[in-house]
Amino acid sequence: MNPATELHSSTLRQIGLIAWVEIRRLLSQTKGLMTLAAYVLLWLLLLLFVVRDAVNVMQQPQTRDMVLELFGEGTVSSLFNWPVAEYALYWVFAIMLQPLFAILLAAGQFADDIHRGTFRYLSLHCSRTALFFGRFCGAFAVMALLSGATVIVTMLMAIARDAHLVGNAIISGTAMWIVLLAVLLPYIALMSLLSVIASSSKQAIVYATLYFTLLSIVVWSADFLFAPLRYLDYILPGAFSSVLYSSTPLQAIGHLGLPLAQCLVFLALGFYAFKRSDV
Amino acid sequence: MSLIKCQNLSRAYGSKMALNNVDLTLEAGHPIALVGPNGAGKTTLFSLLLGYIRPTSGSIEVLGYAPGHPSLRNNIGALPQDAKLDPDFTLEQQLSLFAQLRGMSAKTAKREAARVLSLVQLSDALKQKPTALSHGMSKRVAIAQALIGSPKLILLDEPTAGIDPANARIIRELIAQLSDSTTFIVSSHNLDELERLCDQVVFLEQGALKQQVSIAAGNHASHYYTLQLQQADDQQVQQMLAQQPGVIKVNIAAHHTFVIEYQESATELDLQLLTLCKQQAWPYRLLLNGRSLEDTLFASH
Repeated sequence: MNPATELHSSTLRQIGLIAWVEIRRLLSQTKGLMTLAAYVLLWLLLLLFVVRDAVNVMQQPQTRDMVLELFGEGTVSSLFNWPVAEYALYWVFAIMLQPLFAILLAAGQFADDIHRGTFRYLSLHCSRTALFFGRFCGAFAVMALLSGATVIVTMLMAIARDAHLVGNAIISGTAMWIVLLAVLLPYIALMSLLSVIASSSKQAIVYATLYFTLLSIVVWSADFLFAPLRYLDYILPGAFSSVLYSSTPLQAIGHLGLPLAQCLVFLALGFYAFKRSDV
Repeated sequence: MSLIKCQNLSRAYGSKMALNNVDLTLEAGHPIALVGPNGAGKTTLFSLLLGYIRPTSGSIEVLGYAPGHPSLRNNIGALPQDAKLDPDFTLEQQLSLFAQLRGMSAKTAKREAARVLSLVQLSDALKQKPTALSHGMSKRVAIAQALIGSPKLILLDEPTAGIDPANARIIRELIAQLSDSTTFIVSSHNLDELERLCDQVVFLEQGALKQQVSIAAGNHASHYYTLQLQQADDQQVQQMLAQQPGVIKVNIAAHHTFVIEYQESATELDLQLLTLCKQQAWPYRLLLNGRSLEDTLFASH
């Protein structure tokens, strides 16, 4: 094995080890379990008291007619095209709420550990490349687990309502989960960047709030100020979420190019900043 | 290949130069002391050697590699200053992770964690979290972390600062015990401690390299005795010592402590000094062949 290959595989192993630590932090530490419990409980409330009731309403034939009459063919009416009604509602909530969870949970990737000096220990034993991408993969894996758990609960709710939906529920549930993860990627990558720049996870959340609000205002006022500013939309994660609301997960795959490109840009900037930062 | 080679090394924090044009070459072997007052640039130099920070200008080579180079990782260990372990995981989990990151299997890594903790006499703390440890224990754990993988070079930034004498002794003994196979670079304000542990001394002040001396070579080449009395009239004793045959100069280094420079031909001066102490009824505390590190550094400074 030549040295370059050996180094490459070693970095991959280090990334895996560091990401695994973040999963263990969620699943074996009191703090992580509390986060998990709060997240699951919130989603259970949504699923049991909002989604389930809304699904019952959606099952009435007159509801569809009423929606079409009120809103016409569009975002809202497209919810009736989903093979599993629970997923249609879950999808709307997930596109709206999961990015917020991703921002909150991914805010602590670097800032607190740099401030505490923990990275000084870690960087003695592994490369900065492994540290950066390991933490990013760890945050992504945590979001994958959390969102996966909510997709499974929704799936079970749908199957409990109608056992014939098993096949459809498993296939579209898995597709929905994968698309949702792709949508979350730029949010997590943005927090990797902001967490390197910030001095604490709280400050990273403040930076994220400023980033989203200021950029949205600039994009919104582009028509009055300077038209080309509207292209800043392309560096705003979730800027095109409205397209996703009216798409099923399989249709949404066609719109994932932008989130994936955003993710790459934020990761590149974050990695550059982390390589140059003092630990 | 030198252990460490720095050329024109500078590091600025804003407009303040923490290190200014330092040229330094160190060879592997006995422990090396890095001394200097607060703000002299010791921690900055360590941080540069470990790749925590980047130099403003100049170059650094550690074991022939730039800091942070992958080939260096398994050959270097360190106790960084003011760094804390992850409060969420036990010592075993964290030390095992560090060992695994260095390429060990999960099973070997667990054994390595137990080994390094036993070296610092903390085997019982394997399952504890960092938050449950005292300051002295935390320091020893941090040193255990530096020993993972038995690196060739270990940098210890103030390993005994703020800890009790018993814990400090454990650390000193460990350094002495391992120094045959590992080169230690130790930064400390405790010159007595460094004198006991180290041979080479690098003295930094205001970001510049002021002196680089070998204690053993210095004592061999120069002719000094250090006499410390329990009680005495310092001026009178100084005068009487200066009148002894073969004595060139007597300095009062501290309260009741005299550094005596003598001619090479005065081979029996030590016996004369002890006889003088007896005649004058001066109760002596020690007669040292040579000068203390403090005197070596600051007398010529």
